[in-house]
Amino acid sequence: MSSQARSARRHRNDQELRRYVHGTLARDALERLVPDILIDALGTFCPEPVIRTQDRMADAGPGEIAMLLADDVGVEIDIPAWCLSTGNEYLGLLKSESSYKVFVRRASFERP
Amino acid sequence: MREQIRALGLLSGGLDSTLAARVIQAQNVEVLGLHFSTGFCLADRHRILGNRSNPDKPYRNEALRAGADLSIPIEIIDIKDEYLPEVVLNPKFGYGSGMNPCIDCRIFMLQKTREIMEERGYQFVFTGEVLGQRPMSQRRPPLDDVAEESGLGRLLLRPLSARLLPESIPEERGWVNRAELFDISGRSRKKQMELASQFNIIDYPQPAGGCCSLPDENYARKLRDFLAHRGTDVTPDDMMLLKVGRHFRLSGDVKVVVGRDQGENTYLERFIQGRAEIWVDDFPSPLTLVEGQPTAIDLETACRITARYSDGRDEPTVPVRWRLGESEGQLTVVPCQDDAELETLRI
Repeated sequence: MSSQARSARRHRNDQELRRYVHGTLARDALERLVPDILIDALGTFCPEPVIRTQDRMADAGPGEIAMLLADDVGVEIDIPAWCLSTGNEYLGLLKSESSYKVFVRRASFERP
Repeated sequence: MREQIRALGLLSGGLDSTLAARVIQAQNVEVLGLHFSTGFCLADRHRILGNRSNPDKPYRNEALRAGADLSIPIEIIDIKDEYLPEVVLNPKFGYGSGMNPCIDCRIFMLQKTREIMEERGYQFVFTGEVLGQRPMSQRRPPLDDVAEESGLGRLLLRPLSARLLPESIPEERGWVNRAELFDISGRSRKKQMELASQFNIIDYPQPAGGCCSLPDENYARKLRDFLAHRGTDVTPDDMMLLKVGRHFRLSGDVKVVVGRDQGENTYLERFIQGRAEIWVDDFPSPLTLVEGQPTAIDLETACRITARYSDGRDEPTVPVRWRLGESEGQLTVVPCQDDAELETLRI
């Protein structure tokens, strides 16, 4: 594959990435959400926010909602990707000047 | 009806491990990808410092990306606390070009994987290793050593080179079809790229010869210096701090770390607690951290180094601020202009 073709395909894939980076809930719905689980990953770097999320979500019941607090910019991409790979639902994130609130709903099936 | 076969794969998110996972997935095997976080990942460093060419587009975790693309669940296993003492400091099979204990690293990760396999009832383990691709860990003898020492033996499958290797248990028992595995060897990635195209895997990181800080001579030098002066009582934060900045050893227990740009300065801010911080108010300047118990002379030297890397480097004198816990002050210093002096201090 030529580098040009690869670049074009990579661009399409970036578009695909953006698609799944969008959560399933709108901002106002996220602001009203009351999470069942709070995961504090403030001050930690990748992959620690993902590790804390996966560990807490492993014990969560189906449908339970977790809110991850983090200030690592990587959560914008990594949590949606983690949700897509594991089947959990990425609801979206609220971004403030210095931190993120990321919302995830536990899938209704068991992790393999 | 055939029992659902389940396998664990080591998934870095690079091309080889992504392909291996796809090959096994294509044989109707249920796959869980394991990604080990050692604390020495180069990608972590890039991600921490941010994407300098496009700050709005953070670097991603490639294993999670691969899992999302292939719909394979990924589990990140944190081995930072055990990895340094058990693998980096005491490698049975020695180091590569830097402080990289590649063979011991594979063994350690695969031992952990075997434990998970046994605990959760998976049938076998696979990796993206390619025979002859890496000089230290992917020659035939180390591949055999890794299988043996990890306790996996013939339960370890390398799908990309399987047809060049003795038959594994997953092949022997018909869990996977050997005829649909591959005979790739050597350093060229051409066959892998063709295979990626066949599988429509289009988005993977450029093959770059690994993603670990330990083979890097600059990093290895800083780590050796750290171990020589601080011993093996090391925290993951200590290791993280070795990844950034210019490092200067002023005395037995005093070390200076100077940020090289805004990204590194921001990163260093997280490590201020317990260290002296130095900066220049009048010019754009690095953030400098001082470890240990600096004497007045050490503090002055650290201020001169900080002034040297500030935009005031050509000024006759520069006022430099410092803070250590509750104490703080200002020193007006001549920026360090003597490259020879700097080189004697540089780690």
